[in-house]
Amino acid sequence: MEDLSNVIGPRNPKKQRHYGFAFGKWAVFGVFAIYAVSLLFPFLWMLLNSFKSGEEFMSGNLFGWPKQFYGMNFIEVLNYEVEGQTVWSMFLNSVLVTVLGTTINIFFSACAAYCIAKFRFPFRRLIYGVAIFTMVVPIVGTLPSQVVMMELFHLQDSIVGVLFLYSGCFGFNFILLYSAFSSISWSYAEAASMDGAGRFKTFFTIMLPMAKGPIIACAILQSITLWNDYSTPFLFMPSHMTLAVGLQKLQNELGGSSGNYPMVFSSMLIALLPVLILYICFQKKIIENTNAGGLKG
Amino acid sequence: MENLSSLTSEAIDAGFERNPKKKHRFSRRTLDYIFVFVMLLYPLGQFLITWGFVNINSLIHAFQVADIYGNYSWCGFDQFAAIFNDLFHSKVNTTGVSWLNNTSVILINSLGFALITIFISLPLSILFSYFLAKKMPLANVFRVIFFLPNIIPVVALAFAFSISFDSTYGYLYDFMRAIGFSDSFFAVWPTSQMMVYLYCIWAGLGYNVILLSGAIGRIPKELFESAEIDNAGYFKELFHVVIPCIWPTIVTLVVLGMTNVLTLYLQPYLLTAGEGNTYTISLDIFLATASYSPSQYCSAAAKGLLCSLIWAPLILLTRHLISKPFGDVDY
Repeated sequence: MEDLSNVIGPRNPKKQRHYGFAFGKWAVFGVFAIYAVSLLFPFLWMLLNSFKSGEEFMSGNLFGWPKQFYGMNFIEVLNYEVEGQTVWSMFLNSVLVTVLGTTINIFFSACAAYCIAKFRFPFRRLIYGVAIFTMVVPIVGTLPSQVVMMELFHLQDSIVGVLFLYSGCFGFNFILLYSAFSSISWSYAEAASMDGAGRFKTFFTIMLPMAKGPIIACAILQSITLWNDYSTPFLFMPSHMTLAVGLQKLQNELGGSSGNYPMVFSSMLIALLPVLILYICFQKKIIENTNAGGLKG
Repeated sequence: MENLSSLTSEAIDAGFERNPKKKHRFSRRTLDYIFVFVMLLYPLGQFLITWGFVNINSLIHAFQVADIYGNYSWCGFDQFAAIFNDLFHSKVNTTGVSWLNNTSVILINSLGFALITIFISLPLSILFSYFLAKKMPLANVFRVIFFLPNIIPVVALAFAFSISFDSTYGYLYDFMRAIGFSDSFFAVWPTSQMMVYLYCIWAGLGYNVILLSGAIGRIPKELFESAEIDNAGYFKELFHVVIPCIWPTIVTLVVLGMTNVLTLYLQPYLLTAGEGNTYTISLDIFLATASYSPSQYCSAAAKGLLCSLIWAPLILLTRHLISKPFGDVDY
C-alpha cells in the first residue's frame, strides 16, 4: 500500500510541524550563537591583546595578531603595586582566603547539617526554619552594623575577620548537605557503633566520607564564590586586598585613554584562570549542583 | 516545642551504647545532646553574632543619629522622616528630568531591576531553555558557555562589558552611535541606567537558562509525545505543557527578581561607581558603609529597614498569588 504521507506531502500536519520546527530551531540557533559569541568574544579579545605591548595596543592594533608576542605583561602585572600591595600578594591572599574560607564553611555546614538531619533535640525544627527564612527573606541595611560588629570584636581589617564571616554555615550548602545526610541510611552508623565507634568517630570516618560527592560539589561552588567575592574583602580587609578587589583598583589606575590596557587584560586573565580551570574540570558537577538548588519543577 | 519524652533520636535507635565494651557515666540521650551541643556550638554562635546581633543593632541604629566619632543618640523617627522628605522634596536634580530628583531616581532604578528581570530576562530565559531542550545542535556547548558569567569574577565581567563600549578602544562604540545613542553611554541618565540593565540581562541570562533547562529536563517525555500527537505547535506546547510544568521554578525566579530591588549594587558600582545617577537602594547603603563614617550608618540602617518592611511583604504576597495558577506540580 502506498505511503499516504508521501502523497499528502507538506500538507500533512506532522510534516508542516516538522518544517516549522526546523526553521524555528535554526533561527533560535542563530540567536544562541550570537549570544555565545557575545560572552566569549570580550575575553578572547582580551587574551589576544594581553600579548601585545602597551605601545602596540595604543597605536591602534586592536584586533590584529600581535606583531611580536609580548608575554612580559603577565610578569610585569604580577609585580605591579597598587596601594603598596603587589598583584602577586593579592593572588596569594585570594588563594588563602578561598582555601581556608571554603574549608571552614563546608566543615561547619556539614557539622550543622548532620546534627539537624540525624539527631532529634529541642529547637531542631526552629533552627532549620530560621535557616530557610534567612535565605528567603531579604533584609537590607545591615552592612553598617556588620562593620560595627567587626570593630567590636577587633576583627576589622583582618583575614581572620573575613574567615569568620565566611564560616557562616546556614545557607545553601547547609540545605544541600542536610538533604545529603538525610538520604544516607543510619544502618552504617549502627554497624560502626557495633564496632565500638562513638558519635564523633562515626561522623568523621563514616558519614563525612559517605557524603563526599555533595561535599565536593558544595566545595567547588563555594570556592568559586569566595574567589570572586568582592564586597566582603573590600569592606573587611582593605589592607590585604584580594585579586577581585585589586583588579578594580588596578583597572582605575592603569585604564583610561593613556593607560596600559594590555596589563589590565593580563591581570583579568590571571584572576580568571583558577576558576576557569575549576570550571573545565568540574563543569558537569557545577551545572548539576546549580540545577539542584532546591528548585522543583 | 517538641515533646522531648516522646522523641528518640536515630542515634539512640542505633544503639551507640549497646556496645558492651564501653560503659559511660551519662545516658545515651545526654551523650547525644553533648555531641549535638559541641557540633552546633560554633555554627549557632556565629549565626547569633552575624545575623542576630547585626540585625538587632541595625534595628536600633535606624532610630539613632551618630556623630563622626561614633557617639550614638536616640532620634525617634527622624531618620525615616528625613528619607521621605528627601524623596519628595529634595531639590537636588542632576537627572535631566524635571519631575525626578536624585533620591527618587534611586527608587526608580532599583524597581527597574525587578521589571527587567521579570519581564525581559525571564521570558527570554524560558524561550532559550525551551529551545535548548529541543535537541538543538551544540546544545551542551551553549549550556556551558551560557553559564560562564556565573563563574567569572564580576569585576572582570563588568570590565569586559564596559570596555566594549569605550569611546577609544570599544568595538561596539560605533555600533551604539549608529543606532542613535549619544556619546558617554555610562555618564548620563537614563542611558547610563539602561546600560546597567543591559549588562544585567547579558550576564544574568545564563543562570536562569540553567535553572529552567533543569526544570524542563525533568518534565516526563510522555507529555511532549502527547502534545505531538495532538499536533500542538511550538507555542501551544510551550504555554500548555512546559510553562505549567516549570511554574514553581518560574515563581522562584520571579521572587529572586523582586529580591534584586533590595540587593543589587555591585553591577552599577563596578560599571559606573554611581555616576550618571545609577545609584540603587543597596548601592547607597554599600557606599555609606564603605565610608566607615558612623554618621552615615544610621541613615543607611533606616533606609534598609524601611525598604525591607515595605518590599519583603510584597515579595511574599506576590509569591503567594502567583503560586496559585498551577498549584504545586507533581509528576
